Amino acid sequence: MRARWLDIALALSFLAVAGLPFYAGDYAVGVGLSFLMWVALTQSWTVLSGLTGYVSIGHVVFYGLGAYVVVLLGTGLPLLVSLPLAGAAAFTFAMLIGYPVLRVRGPYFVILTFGLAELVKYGVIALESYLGKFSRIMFGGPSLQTLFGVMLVLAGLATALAWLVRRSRFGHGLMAIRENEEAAETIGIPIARFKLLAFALSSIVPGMVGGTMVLRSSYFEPVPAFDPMISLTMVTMAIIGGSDDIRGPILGAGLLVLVSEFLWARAPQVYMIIIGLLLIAFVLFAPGGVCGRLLRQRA
Amino acid sequence: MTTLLEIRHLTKSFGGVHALDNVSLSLAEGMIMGLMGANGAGKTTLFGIVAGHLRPTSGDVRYRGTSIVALRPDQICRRGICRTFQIVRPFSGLSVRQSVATAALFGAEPAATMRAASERAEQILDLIGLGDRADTPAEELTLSAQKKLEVARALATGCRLLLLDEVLAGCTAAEVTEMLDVLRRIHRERSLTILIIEHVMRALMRFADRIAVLHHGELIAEGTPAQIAEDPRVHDAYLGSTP
Repeated sequence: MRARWLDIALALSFLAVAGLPFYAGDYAVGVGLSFLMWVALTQSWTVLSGLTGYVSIGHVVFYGLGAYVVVLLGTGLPLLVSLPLAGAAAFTFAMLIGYPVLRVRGPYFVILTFGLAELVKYGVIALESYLGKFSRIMFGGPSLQTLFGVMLVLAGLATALAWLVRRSRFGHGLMAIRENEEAAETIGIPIARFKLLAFALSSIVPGMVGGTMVLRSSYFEPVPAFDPMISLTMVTMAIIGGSDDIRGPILGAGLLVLVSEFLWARAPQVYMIIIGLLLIAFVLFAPGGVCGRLLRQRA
Repeated sequence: MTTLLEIRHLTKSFGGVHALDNVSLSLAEGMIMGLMGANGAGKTTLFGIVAGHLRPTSGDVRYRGTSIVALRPDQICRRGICRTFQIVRPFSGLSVRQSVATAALFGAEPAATMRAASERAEQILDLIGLGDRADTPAEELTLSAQKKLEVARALATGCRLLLLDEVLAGCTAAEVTEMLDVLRRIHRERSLTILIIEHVMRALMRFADRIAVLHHGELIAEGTPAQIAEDPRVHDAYLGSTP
């Protein structure tokens, strides 16, 4: 019963968010854009980390690469060309580094993803200073309303991907890897290939999201584009919402975006403290996230 | 009878230690071969090589006439060989049914659909006596039930050669009898070939068609249970030589 209500509430909220450009001002559309961005990122993150248990705290690397690609391409290209290229760049990078990175497990993998994102960040900083660019400004980007529409599509794509993978044979293989990698290999699952594919699939939408957000800020600098807080926020949203269900990232993103909107305006100093407390509370008392809680009570 | 698995001059060294020393053994299709030996005799190393977890230092393993030593465990499983683990490795968070259905989706005879996988899982669970525990999380089962789950998961892959690593260890006498009944039934109904490592010697004597005995990495005897029981080298290895 609770799950039914949850679905109805989610569907209504979705309509309310999707329609924002038609009835609300730029501020609300901006908040909606941010919500959709986090849905797209967190949903993608669960395809790797939720299903395989390989927790990435460096997913911003794909976001940053996508942003960099779009900035290099400039605003002359249509979004339908530049954003897929950003996604393709993230995917290619994931395929190239995935094999060595995914040989490492558990806490070592977690640290490695963080280090990798930082490494790429400093690589881009070095490259930019070599090119004599310390930041790049873009003129004539698309309107906020257009970017909102793009982000709506990306959030939809990421959610559809998470849903499809979760139901597929591939997704069941990933869950087996999460529960016991040796056993998964023993029953015929090509673990190396599956992990690599999950890693690469989880990188595409973040690449495109990064490309979209750089058009929103019309400004690129490596430090904010590769900000580790972006990675950590994905993890936090997945934990709070629950990563075992495609509704989890939506709930987690919604909750955190609302909390941050209220707190940034009223009490910016306590924002991070509250987020930290929320995270600890969920890890300790509701490790399945909001979704895990609601669904368990139904069962 | 055709030869299903042929192990030829297999040697595995870890540093200076010969875990396996020139072991040759062959399994005819449909037979149950017992593998005996004290701790450290090389039984699990042998399993590890056949299942693809370890590479031999030298020698070859041939399955249906082709060498499999260079293959990965998942490739070997898809050829039709599946093992269980002495220390059980359940898919902790999955239910018993999900665990077995996942195996049915992969392996040598992958189920075409999720529904077909689930149905195969139900059949196997009924066969093995875990039908009433299908919705239990795998990690909540008793040890003997988890050992059955290991067997069920291996069977669901559609394997033709089943490698059982001490599935009876840690079971009570009643559970051992029950497990052997189950294994006999699946061997009969699915005409499987089984290679079984076991410490419970009396069980092995009743269950296996032939028994191979490893001692310090060497194959010291191979024959019917009756021959093995009479073999002086086996007595020496197990009881120490008579002065």
